[in-house]
Amino acid sequence: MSPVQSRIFPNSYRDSVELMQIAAEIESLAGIDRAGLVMATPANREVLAAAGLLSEATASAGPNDLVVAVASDDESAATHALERAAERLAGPGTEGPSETARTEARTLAEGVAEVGANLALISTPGTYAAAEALKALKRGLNVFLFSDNVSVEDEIELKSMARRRGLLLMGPDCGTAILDGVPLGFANAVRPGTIGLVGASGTGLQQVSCLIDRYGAGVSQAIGVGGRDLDERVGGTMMLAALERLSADPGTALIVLISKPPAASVAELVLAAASAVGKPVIINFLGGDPEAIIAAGAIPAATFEAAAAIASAMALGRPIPDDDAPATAARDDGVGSAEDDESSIAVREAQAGLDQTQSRIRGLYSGGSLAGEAKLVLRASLGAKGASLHEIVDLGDDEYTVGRPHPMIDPRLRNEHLAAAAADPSTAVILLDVVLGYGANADPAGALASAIHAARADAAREGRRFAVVASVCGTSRDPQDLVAQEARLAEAGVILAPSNAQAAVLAARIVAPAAVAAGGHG
Amino acid sequence: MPTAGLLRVHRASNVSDAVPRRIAHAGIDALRVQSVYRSVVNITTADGLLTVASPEGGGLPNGILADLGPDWRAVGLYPGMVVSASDASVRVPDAGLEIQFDAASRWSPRLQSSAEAADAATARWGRRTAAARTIAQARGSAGGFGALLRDDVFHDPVGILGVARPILAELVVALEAGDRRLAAEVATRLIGLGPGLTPSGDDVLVGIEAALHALARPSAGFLALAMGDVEERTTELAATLLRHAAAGEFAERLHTPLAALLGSDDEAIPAAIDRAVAWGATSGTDCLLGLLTGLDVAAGVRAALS
Repeated sequence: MSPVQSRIFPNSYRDSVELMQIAAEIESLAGIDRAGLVMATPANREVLAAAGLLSEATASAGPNDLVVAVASDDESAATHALERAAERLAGPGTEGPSETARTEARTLAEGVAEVGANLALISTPGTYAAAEALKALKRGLNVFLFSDNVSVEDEIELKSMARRRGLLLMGPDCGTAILDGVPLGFANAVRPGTIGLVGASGTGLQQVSCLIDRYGAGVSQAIGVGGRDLDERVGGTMMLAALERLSADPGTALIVLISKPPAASVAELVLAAASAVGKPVIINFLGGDPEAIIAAGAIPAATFEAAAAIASAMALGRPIPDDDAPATAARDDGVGSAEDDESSIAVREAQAGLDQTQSRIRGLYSGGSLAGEAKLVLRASLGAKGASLHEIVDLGDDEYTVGRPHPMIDPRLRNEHLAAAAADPSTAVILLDVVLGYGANADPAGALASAIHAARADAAREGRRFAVVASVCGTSRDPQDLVAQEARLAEAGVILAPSNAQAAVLAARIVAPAAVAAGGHG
Repeated sequence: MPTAGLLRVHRASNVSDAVPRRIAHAGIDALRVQSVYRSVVNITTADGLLTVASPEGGGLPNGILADLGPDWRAVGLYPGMVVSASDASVRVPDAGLEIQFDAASRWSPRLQSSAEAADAATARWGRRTAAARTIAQARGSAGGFGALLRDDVFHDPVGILGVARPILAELVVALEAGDRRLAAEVATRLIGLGPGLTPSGDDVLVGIEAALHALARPSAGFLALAMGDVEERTTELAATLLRHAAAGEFAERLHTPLAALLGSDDEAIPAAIDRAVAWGATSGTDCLLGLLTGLDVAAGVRAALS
């Protein structure tokens, strides 16, 4: 059993959400076998003792003391984990005034008066978010509404007010935006440029902006509008408002719109607005009909990758790639696409490791829009019947995240599903997205690599192998560094694709090479 | 420091019936701020915690509801500050703050129950328990004891769920047998067990007691027999809420889902479960697990746990 280090934080009254976040963080640190972070009640002390996590120092703690215990064979890793917990617990919370207290604005009124803010980022629980957004709009602020669980009725009211006042209401559940170079929510450090993006899709916007960066072009603005904006009830209010803004923005030369297929009445409005914008507009209505887009004088793109490739080519004055073959653009650092020899070798090697009973792709996604794109690509590659044999799960969906951090922040949920998928004898390929950027986990590839190693070892004991295919959505300027993250995954034997769409194609090639070669409709 | 003459006065919108009783019982001196959160302040009294909270979370058995601003950690309140209280207000002189509750609406945390209405509700529950549990499984938190709503427990690094599951099953058997004393003995093993500032075991017990109380079951009141040295066995906040539950007093966030779960409208249940699980990181789901367990016991439905 690994040695235990522990520490008591007397009379520590941190709320449960915070305690859970800290527990998740220290448990995911490299070298930590197990960690416990609980109030030191007699019942919890007994459980810690049974788990070998109770040291002499913590045996005397009382029920109002917080105990943090970590088990690790690596003494320095354990010490680091306890220091990290102490740092987090010493952060702003219930403590008294400190000498280094910053004079940050604490109310909307202070923000407007002292900072001259023109935007409020709201990230309160959904119950309170609508009221805060309403206050912000009344003060003339644009709103980035990160909160979810805001009712559609509130969304309609807020967006109507924003429209009347000439403001943007981005959200609710708005995952990302880049405004005048400032990243909000889960955004990536992308190169500035002339391509304006509007998306009702968080990770869709991230994927398109990162691929634009990869192709050597850049982004002027990226405006998230919330996943329900193109719903018939909301009417695309903010996509239309954002389109107007980008139309008038001298720094934006062309525009990309991203969404699931909108309601017919909303599509009509958006396409009419796009045709009148006076700038080239590329539209990715994931899985939608391209004919109406062409009829409106816009350019359809079937996938996020296609949207990024077409926009980048136009911005850089290069020939526009064929939308049916989106996987051909090489990234500006010279790394080739999935069609090159290296990937074909990887596919053949992966196939050689599978037995007859291994036939399924298990997609474990942290990004909902990326999961949607993967499903679409599998249908295109394998046909509807062929694709239905495989499973793509969005682990960021509310079904999985109530009371838990999002898998883009906390890798544990996906790692648990990865272990379960790897233990299933029918699994041939595990398909993953790895999302980098501000707000995302500090080392998602590292966390995945450990889980992959463990799952492979378990499968090997049963005489099985399986393939892992992934794409990393990020840039080399992101805090996690795209190149370092890809290298970490490659070391773990992951087959890497430069985009999510190509990763899905690779997975399909591994399980059904004949179907993919035939276009998937056989 | 601000002086009493420069107090910022906030008028509370709602006050629990139990608050003036607590202040009268605990005395008006030696009260101190225990902890400050974004929208909650806890005050230590000689008779448990007094909580001032923002109105959005609903009534609390030990609570006064008032709006002190968007972030209460920024209004000059800090742990250890001296508090004075009367039957009309709570004052924190060093923070320059007074919360007046004499004009606030009075709210009773007591769950009303009548045997007659309970019989109809119990019969209804027997028909809808499986559907409600399925919704709770999908929407509840996977943290705390929420995983006990499901059969699969993915993540239990310290082994708390492995300890909790058989105790809870044992408690169900004791309650089904109507043996309050045995149930209390088993319940003491759940007190203080689990993650969170109100450990999950405590939240589950509060939920079970609320359900039994609402349906006027003979085993209601088992929790009162388990209170003994509760302050030694769990956190100050959890002990306060357990003592209220043992006296039949519960937070509004338990009254509301119970009313929906036992009411006549099947369609109100998903929204009620959504609201129930939205409380805290895991407390809402833990309380909901308790409610469902207690209702199943009351309706004679063998829970999946046992």
